[in-house]
Amino acid sequence: MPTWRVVSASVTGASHLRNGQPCQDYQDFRCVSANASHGALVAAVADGAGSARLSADGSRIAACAAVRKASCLVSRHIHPLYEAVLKEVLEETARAARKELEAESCRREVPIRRFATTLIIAICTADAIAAAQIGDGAVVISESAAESSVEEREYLLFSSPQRGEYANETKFITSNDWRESLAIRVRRAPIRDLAMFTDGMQSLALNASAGNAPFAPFFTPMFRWANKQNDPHSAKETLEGFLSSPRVIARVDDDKTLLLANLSDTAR
Amino acid sequence: MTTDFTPNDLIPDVEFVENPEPRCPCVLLVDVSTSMYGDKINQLNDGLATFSRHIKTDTLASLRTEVAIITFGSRAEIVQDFVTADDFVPPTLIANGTTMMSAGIDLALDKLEERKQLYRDNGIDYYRPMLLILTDGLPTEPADVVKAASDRLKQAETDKRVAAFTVSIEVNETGKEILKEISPRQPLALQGLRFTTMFEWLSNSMARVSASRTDDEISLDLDSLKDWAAI
Repeated sequence: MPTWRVVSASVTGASHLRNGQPCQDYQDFRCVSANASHGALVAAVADGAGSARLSADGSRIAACAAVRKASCLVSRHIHPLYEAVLKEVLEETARAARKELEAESCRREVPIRRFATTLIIAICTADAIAAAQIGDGAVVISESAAESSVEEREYLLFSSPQRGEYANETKFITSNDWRESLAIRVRRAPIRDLAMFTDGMQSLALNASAGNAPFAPFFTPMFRWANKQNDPHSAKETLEGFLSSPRVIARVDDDKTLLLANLSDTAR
Repeated sequence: MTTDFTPNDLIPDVEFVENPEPRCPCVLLVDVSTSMYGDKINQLNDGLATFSRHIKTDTLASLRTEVAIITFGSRAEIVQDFVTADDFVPPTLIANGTTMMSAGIDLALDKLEERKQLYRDNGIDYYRPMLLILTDGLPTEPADVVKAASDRLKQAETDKRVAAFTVSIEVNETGKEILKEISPRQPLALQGLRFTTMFEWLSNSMARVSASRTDDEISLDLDSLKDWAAI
């Protein structure tokens, strides 16, 4: 059964530190061992809107609810996860995340828009990838053959940032029209590497003037490093250190979340 | 007019590589007809200097806000082409001429669409452009010309291609009615000549918009509007 090696971190942006705002990004993941045929990785990243007062809670609730629901659905499935099944699982997962936010808004008696957050959910098995996205951020994958080295891999933008014409027209799962924004994509292919990230990473990871093509000089060294990490805690610390290093902060001063996952070599 | 060089004067469009921040364009469309001569234009020039100083104190806003100044007197003229606020050097405007407001509106809308295309070509994200019309009088152009420019402005506002605000400077009640006809939004009347307060408000508003992720009107700092405007 494949095992997923995951490194993920969220760091507070410089502008948030200056304004005394908390980190409004959140990420969560779980490795689900359902049966011998499909050990799956379930992961979510969420980016709370800076202008919404409770968005730090919003992103946490959305990401955690999504991972909980998707893990539960995936582990319950004893049959192979066909495309149609994965699509349904993601739809149900997004509904569950939205429901949690609605419940929280009722419980605290505040409008749901105060929890405004984006949400990206991914389910990865040894032979398929599925992602659901509302708002900006992205999912990048590589699906090269197992023998290829990191240097030779090709990175694909699997789920793309959503935005209206203007930079401040972000889509949120808390919006009334969230269902129209929900973009689901399923692909049957053996996945080698997976990256999920929020808006704050986009200018480092994607080439905006080339249709948001993944930037290989970013992903190649990141995955080369991530592939070698065996201690998740120290790897997380290193990633946090990188994301909050002065040069990275000089490029983007928003909150940043990056989740890197790959099938561990020993498992093959 | 300024003769200072900004990096972009030396090598056109390199600014988008050097500064990849999303842009929030703001066109100041300023009446420089003869009636603006004296106190009005002097205070307005002081206001521009305040704006320049004020916005530069907010690093993010000064990298994201782009200012252009178009004047209308006997003709419409670009006094300052788009420049990020950190490179903005306030000009000294001189009042002389008639009030070719419609020509100014047309030029401003043309320049904004051109600018947005340049952002797209360079992969730069952008916010809804802001157009601030500052006038102490009424257009001296034929009625059909005024109506055409006004219709175009209203359509641009409806299509969310621009957020257009009109500020009247010591305009009488009849004049205000006519400006109301021309403008997509209810015009704001400047209290006395409080240009400095108005430009501080503008600087704060641009800072809020350029850091926002939802396009709600709240980001325009409406609370402090009353410090300088009678609505």
